Amino acid sequence: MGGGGGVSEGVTFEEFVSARLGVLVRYATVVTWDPHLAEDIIQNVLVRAQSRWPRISRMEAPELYVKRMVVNEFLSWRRRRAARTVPLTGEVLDGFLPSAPDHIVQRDDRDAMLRLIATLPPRQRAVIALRFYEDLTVDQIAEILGCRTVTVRTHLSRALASLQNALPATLVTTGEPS
Amino acid sequence: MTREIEDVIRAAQSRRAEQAPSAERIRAGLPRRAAKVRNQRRYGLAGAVVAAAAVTAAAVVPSLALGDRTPPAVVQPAGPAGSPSGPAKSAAPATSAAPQRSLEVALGFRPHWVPSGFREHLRHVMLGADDGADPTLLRVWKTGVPDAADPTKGGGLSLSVSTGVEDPANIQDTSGERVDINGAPGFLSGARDGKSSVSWSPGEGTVLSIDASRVRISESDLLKMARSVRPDTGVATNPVRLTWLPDGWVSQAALVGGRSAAGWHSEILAGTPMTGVSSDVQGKEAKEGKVSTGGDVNITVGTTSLAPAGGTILTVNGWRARNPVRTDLPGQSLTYLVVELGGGRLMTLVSQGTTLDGLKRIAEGAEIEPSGLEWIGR
Repeated sequence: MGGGGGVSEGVTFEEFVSARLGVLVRYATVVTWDPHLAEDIIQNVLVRAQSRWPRISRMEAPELYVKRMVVNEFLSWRRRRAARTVPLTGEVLDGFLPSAPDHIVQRDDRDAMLRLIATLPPRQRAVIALRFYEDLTVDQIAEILGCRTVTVRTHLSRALASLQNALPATLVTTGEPS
Repeated sequence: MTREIEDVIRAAQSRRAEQAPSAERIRAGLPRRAAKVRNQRRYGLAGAVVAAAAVTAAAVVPSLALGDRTPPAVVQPAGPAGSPSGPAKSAAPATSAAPQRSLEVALGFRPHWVPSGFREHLRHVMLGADDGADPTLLRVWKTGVPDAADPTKGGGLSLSVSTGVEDPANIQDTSGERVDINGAPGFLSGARDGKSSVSWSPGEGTVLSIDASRVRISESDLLKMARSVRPDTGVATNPVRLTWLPDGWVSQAALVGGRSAAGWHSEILAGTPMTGVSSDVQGKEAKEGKVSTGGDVNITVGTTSLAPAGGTILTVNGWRARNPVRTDLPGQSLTYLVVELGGGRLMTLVSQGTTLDGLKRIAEGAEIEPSGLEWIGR
């Protein structure tokens, strides 16, 4: 599992931050799809984690616990309210993409996907981050989100269906085996 | 085909990860965030943990204005003018007063049935990031007597009313069981970790949800309460009105509650628009120095104060006041002002990002009109 390793038991909070902050920030950025929200969330989570560090550091997978805190923070209802603006702001979407046209089909796919992921509901966005960026199993995602595996599968299938249906047909066909 | 789209998703995620903010900047900002979080935990609006002793006898304070009813006259900053690019902490009071955002918000909806023993004790208004944004209102019903110093403590049943939602599906938790709420599709999440909820959209960009937190309620009662929700033409008000804030600061959230109308408790959170809300646009502006990256004030009026004891004694519009100072590291960035309003009522201002003179001016401009609070405890 991608999220559980990376830190050994008994490290200090400062050592943990030194070693893993970059990974955590990238993870939060993929979960939230909003670098500024990710920054906000990571700072809040680290402040809380620091106060609980004596307990967290004794866990089998401290990093996984902190990543769970990030997802929970993102999905809390206050954060959802902030996060909902992500797919609706043109300036935000523009910020994702290069202004120059891209003639490489594979890159078009990726750019279109950048836009489309931003339109997913936050929970679906979090699930695909955990599934494809973190390479977690459905069972592990269910444990992190505190829900049933069938719920995770539902989110995952809905997200995939939404992305697949919304991806421009010309780009979808480029993925077909020849 | 699925394999292909998964690969495209992974590529997009990798690219998004490359756009992550600087880890060094985040690390450098941790001490300041720690101070802010500690401040919000102790004095904030979101269920902060408070340890002060409850005061059971609350005095009724008649209509009271600390200062004139008209906005205060222009005054010169008492402190040295902050450098335009300097940290918000050094900001002195600005020389102009901007019109303040109204804290009056339409209630929109209310349940006509709540389980036996529950009474409404809290109304929490979260204003949007800007004047055009629609507020979210939270009404909370509790059993028992709420904490006098912090009515947000403890569990309850809350009705959340969000309006102006462009895509209701985006903020609904659709993971639960599908249910029908008076013809509108809803989602019921059963009890988990002491929490259960039902959310639905009655249409017109509105999302309603009822959340049960740390209270025992059956799913059938939760649904019964949801199905009893009807439009409410009332207005949520706050007995405290601010007529002045530092330049660029706006009211962002407000809370009114308590044990009864006589024992009301009010909190207002105000600050730069960046506070408490993140968005790409605001973040970019902050980084470009167009807006301050910090600064907020929490104004509490109640029968207790959570400020440290002691402090320099001073006078604010004739009222006795004090300016306690914290010497611990997180507290060093905070400025306190406690004003004794009489009748056992205290106004506590705690801020990060303005001076004592700024706090005095906020207090002088505050108007208090405790009316329309009969709903508390009913």
